[in-house]
Amino acid sequence: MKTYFLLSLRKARLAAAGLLAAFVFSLLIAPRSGRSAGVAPRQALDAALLFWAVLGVPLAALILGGSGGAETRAGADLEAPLPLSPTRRALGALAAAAVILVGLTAVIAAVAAALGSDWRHAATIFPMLAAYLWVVGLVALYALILSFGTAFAIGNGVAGGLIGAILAVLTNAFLFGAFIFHLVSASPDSFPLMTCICAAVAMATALRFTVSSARESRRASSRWLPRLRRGALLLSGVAFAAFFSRIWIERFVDHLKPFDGLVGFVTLTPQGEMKTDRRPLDGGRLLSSLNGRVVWDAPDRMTTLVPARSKRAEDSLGSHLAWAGDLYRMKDGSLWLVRRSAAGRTELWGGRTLGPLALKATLPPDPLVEAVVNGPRGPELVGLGGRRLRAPLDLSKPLKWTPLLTPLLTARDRARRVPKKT
Amino acid sequence: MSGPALVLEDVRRAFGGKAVLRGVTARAERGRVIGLLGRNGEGKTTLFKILLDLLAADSGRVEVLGLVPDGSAALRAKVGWIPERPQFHDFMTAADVLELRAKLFPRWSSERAAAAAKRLGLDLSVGIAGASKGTLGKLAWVCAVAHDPELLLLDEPTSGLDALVREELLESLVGELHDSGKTILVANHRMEELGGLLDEVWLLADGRIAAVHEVEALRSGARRLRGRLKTGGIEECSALDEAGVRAAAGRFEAFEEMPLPLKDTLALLLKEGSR
Repeated sequence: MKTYFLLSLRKARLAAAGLLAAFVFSLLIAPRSGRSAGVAPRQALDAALLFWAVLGVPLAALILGGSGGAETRAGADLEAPLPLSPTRRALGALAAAAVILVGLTAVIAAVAAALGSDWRHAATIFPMLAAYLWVVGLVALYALILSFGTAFAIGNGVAGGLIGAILAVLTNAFLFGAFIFHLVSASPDSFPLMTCICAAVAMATALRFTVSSARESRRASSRWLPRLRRGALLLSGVAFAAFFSRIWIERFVDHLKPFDGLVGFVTLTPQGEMKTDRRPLDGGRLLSSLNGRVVWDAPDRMTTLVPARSKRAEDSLGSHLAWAGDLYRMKDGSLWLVRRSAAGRTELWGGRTLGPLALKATLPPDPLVEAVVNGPRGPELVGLGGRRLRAPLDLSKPLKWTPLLTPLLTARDRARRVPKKT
Repeated sequence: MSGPALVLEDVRRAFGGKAVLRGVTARAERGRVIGLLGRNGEGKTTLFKILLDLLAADSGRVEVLGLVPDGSAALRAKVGWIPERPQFHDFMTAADVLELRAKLFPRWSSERAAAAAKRLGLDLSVGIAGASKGTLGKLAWVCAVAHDPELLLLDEPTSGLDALVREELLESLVGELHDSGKTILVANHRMEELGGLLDEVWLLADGRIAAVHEVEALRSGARRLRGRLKTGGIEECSALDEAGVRAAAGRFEAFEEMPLPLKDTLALLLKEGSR
């Protein structure tokens, strides 16, 4: 296989050189193109590097996989006298394409590290860099195997590359979603492990599809059953990754649900003018009343007074924004406003519609209260303390924090036992 | 090394619903030189590819040198193959081609390859991209024999070669291979060129081996008859064997009988096989 691997490297040298030339050329013309578009040359260069880092590598994988797969299939006659099975030929060529892809990625990363302004600070953003490498590596490798396998199976590089791209996007969309969930949430589940398992299964099925296509290439093209079987095998990998990734994504959505009571971000200035960078999340308008109070004109047209301006807040006002917080409306009609004090503590203001808000509690920074949510038995606080926590909003006694998300299986088991309240 | 070189039992293969081989049954003993005779499109190349483990038969039993073609390509290490249109990687030179094969064939002999190249007048520094058909043909020959194969499958092996090289190949190289006990299955539109070496001829017609003839029997039995017909007039006809001669003789009032050249014998075989 080593001999055929080296032969495949030689065969793929044109594709590799073409991709490398395209990379170099894009970097050479990026500053000039940027200048003509009114973008600073440095920014244009960064944009070109970003393109290659995020999209270029997976695209290169599709091109290398598609051309490699089709060429290996087409070369069956040319290499017919050689004592190499179709499987060994396919795997040798695939390994060569993977090595070229890794080499190209290394060149892109090295150039980006040397020339890209943001990349120079890569060490300071290592978690994000690691995330990038993981995601792009997964996407690219999977795309390579898929496009190689499909191009080999149908003997056409372009069509194979396209089918591979579609399947890779389908699979990776789910995996990527799961990965994002892992990044932004403090879930107790082992997401990298589970997502890696999903990715490994998807890649294994793509590899198996390639091997099976290679074995079957000696047989009559009119055999539909093996074709269907191979197609089902390939799609099973996609479906597997999609199914498990969907669970993570569902949990992500569940994770966001606690924030459904968020009305908007409220800001007061010393002059009593209200500013907001965005519209209230569930409609209505935020207005400033004549006496300096913030008024929320709710969608049901019930005008609600939000925070009563406190003397203490007024005293601390500077020339800029001084009084700000997230406003939540609960299903029981209560309104809650969470704001950070200058001392880094969290102030919890409460009230009801058609009434002013009052400071209800000042909470310590750990866990850091993030939101007030609609819990199953009334309002709850959500906070972050290593992992995301929740506590019933009962200020008459010390808050009792428990994990917001329990490990997946336990949560699912519990969900089966306890029907959701509607 | 025992048992037959080739065993084919009811081998079938179709392409897209079109049956090319419809039940090929034949057996070749080791050390024989067999001519595979058939019209264009009868499935000679398909049969070669099945024997080489490049294609799988849809059904039937195939055995090559005691090995069953299973997709592993293991048997190709024991088989020399010359396709009708030899192809090589166009980024290589002839020397690169031989070097690649030296790494892949366990029994490859660089000395044997160099000797064959010298014998055929093959320049090893020539690039494949610009090589002539004749050069590719010579290179295919070197590749086919340098690993000391037990079986040679030759599909139009002299295609594109000039007369001198053809003579060197067929009279000398193939003769030596024959003498060293190699089994050779050859499809050639100029089968008569192999006349002195052929042991038997398989007639492939209608997707089957329609007949197997011993060449010696063909040589001694095939006759050309020329005489005066009972109905008047002079006519010439050919017969493959004694029975054919007797049948034809009845039409003549008087005739003379002469041996039929092998070329004409094979043409007659092909003609009769296609009926």
